[in-house]
Amino acid sequence: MFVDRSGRRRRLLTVIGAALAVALLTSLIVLFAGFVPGNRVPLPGWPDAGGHDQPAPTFGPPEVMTTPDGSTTHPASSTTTAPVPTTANPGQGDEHRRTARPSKSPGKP
Amino acid sequence: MSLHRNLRGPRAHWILLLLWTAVLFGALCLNGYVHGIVGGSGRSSAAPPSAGLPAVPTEVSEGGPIVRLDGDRVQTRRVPDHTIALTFDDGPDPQWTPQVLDTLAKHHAHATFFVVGSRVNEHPELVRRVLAEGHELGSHTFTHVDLATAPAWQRDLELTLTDNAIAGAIGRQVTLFRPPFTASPSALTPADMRAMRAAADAGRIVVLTDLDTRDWQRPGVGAIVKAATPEPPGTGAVVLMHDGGGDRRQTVAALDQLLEKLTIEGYTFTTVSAATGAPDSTIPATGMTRLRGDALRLAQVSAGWLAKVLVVFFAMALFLTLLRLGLQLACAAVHSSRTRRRRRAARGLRYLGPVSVVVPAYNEAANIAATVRSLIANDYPDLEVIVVDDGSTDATAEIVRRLRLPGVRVVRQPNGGKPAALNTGIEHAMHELLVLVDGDTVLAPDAIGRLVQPFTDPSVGAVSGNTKVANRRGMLGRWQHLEYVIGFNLDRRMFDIGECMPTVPGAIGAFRRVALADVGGVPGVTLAEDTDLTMSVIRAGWRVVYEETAIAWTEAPTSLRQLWRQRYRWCYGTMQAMWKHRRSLVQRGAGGRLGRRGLAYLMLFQIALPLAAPAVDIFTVYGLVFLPWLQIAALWLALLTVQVLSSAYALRLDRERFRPLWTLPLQQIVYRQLIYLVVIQSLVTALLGSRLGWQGPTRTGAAAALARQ
Repeated sequence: MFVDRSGRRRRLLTVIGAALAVALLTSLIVLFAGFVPGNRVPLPGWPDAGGHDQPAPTFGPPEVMTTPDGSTTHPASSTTTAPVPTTANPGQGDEHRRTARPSKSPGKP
Repeated sequence: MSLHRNLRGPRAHWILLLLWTAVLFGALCLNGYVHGIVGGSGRSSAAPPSAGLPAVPTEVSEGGPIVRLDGDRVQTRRVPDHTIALTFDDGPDPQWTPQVLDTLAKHHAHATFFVVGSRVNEHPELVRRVLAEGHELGSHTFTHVDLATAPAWQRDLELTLTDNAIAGAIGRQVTLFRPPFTASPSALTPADMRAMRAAADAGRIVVLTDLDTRDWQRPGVGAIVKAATPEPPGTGAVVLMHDGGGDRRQTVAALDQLLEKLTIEGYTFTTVSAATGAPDSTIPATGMTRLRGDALRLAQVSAGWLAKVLVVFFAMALFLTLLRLGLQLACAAVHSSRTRRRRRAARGLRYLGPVSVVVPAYNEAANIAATVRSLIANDYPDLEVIVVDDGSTDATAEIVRRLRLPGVRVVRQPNGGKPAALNTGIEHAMHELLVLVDGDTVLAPDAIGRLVQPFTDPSVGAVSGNTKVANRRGMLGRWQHLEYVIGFNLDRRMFDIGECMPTVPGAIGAFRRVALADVGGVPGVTLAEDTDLTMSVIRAGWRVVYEETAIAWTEAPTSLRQLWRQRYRWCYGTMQAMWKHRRSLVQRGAGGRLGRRGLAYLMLFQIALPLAAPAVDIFTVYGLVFLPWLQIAALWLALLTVQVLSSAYALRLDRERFRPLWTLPLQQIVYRQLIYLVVIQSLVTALLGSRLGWQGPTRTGAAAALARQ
């Protein structure tokens, strides 16, 4: 009883089992993918004279904030592009952005 | 080589089970972690420990609420005069966030929303709306955890998870961050400072607050408005409110009033970045980060569903277990009072004519002498004993011959399997009543006399005896002893009452010759010939009853490996017999009773429930870690108590000692798993149609010979 003489059932179930294994492995990957940290992104710079406390702070050079491997971020370009305003933030006053300047010391070692 | 592989049976499904366990446990852990979420409330502990930590630098404690710690030196910013940066924590919330957004839109105001990552996964569309309406987004951790007290791994994990969740929802990464349970810079503790430094190392700008409205305490609309109004008038401020974590009716009303009032006073309401003149604080997320965010959301949502399904599963398993116990206890009580009444009426045992005892034996040299002696020592007046030596390679036959006991015959046959040996024995037996006994079983002196008593009723075709474990030493022996006592005193009494006995055990059972002839002898097509035979006898119209006073002692497996093999054979054989007799489900009369009661019971409690058991075990572990510990422990104790009480009742019915009951709690750990893994193994073997090593070729010769008579 139950013996599969032709071997067809076994083959079918082997395929189903393999598909199930692939599905479960995919689920495991999906489950743990969210826990993988991304690369460090460079912070957008602050305008030097925008604040109240420190009239002219010299904030850290961008190297400090780049990824250790530097594969996806380019410190030199980030310093120049970071303060450029985007349209994604309509609440921002334009006058502030125009006064924003890039870091005084790009590429300082 | 192939023979060796077949002996073990299929194995690849264990990988699947392992993967399934990992997925299930991982998903449950994620769900448990997500729902450990609090928010909109004060710190649980009065103050996080700060011993040994450097003090909060004065640049921070006396500086502005927007803090950068990533550079060489601390930088802080304040909001300029006549500007308010409204901040909303703990969202998004499907009820309150839209109301807050509507109110802000009504007054053309903008604000910053510090969102909780796990809630972003629940309502990504709300976060997209926040962004689309011109507001700013910041991170408020994934589960609103107090980073000041959280270990370092959790601090990093919370930031990563939130990053990914937000990136998945809006395709951008946020750089603004507000640690939960913080308010103004002056109130920071050294532990808060440590958490802020960790956030800065991960590339965050920390946004604290000037004015904490404490709206989560619901102090009244007026109080919230007052707390949000800067003093002296005209001063700029970062104002903290909440759009999630509880009833925010007061917040929404207060927001409306505040915007009305302060707009007239000349304030503008804008985002944190805009207020400080900083550029957009979000950065486009990489494709991989967005993908991770999507995966995280999918995982969280699926895990939530999975947990819900499992709770239902768990409840169903619990309900079924209790239902089974209740049914068993009720039936056992009815059965025991019924038999007591009958025994009182019968007044002693009756002689029912000569009885033939058939003992199939294959390599039973160790036990056969004791078995045969116990049979001859029985007090029943007229007995013949037929030992069928099924081609043993040891001295089984010799041992019996040398005993030279009167009334004992030895029949030898080439090895043909147990059903064939039984049929040979039945063929050689002379009497109408046949008792079938295993070669490793020792009978009580009155067992045969008692076993045949139910045959006074001419409708009874077979009687099941009461098997007990002889070797009760060690944990395994005690567990099996308890299992046998429960199986024979609760299950079998229930089957007797329900007239649906699925098995007369091979160890001790009695049959009428006519009943055996009706079904063509002992069938050899399944591995559980005793179950198959019993089902056939019932379907042939005979009654099968239980005689609990006919006691036989059998030797139980002493190692897990032996036990596994025995149960594998039983379980697989039972499945075969159930499949063979599946038509009884739709039969009328006795066969239908067997099908709809007996088979349904076996299907539910010996196949379905064990298959669900691994998930129940995983859920139990999850419950111990993530659910209120005391409740889970109480539930477990309650279940165990019910189990102990019912087992104690079974022991009492059998006049056994209560001592082995202490092993019951431990049964949950190894024994239970072995029993359900055997069911999985058997089911997979059946589905794959593997030919098992001990299955061998089908032996039908002897059965056919009996049918010819």
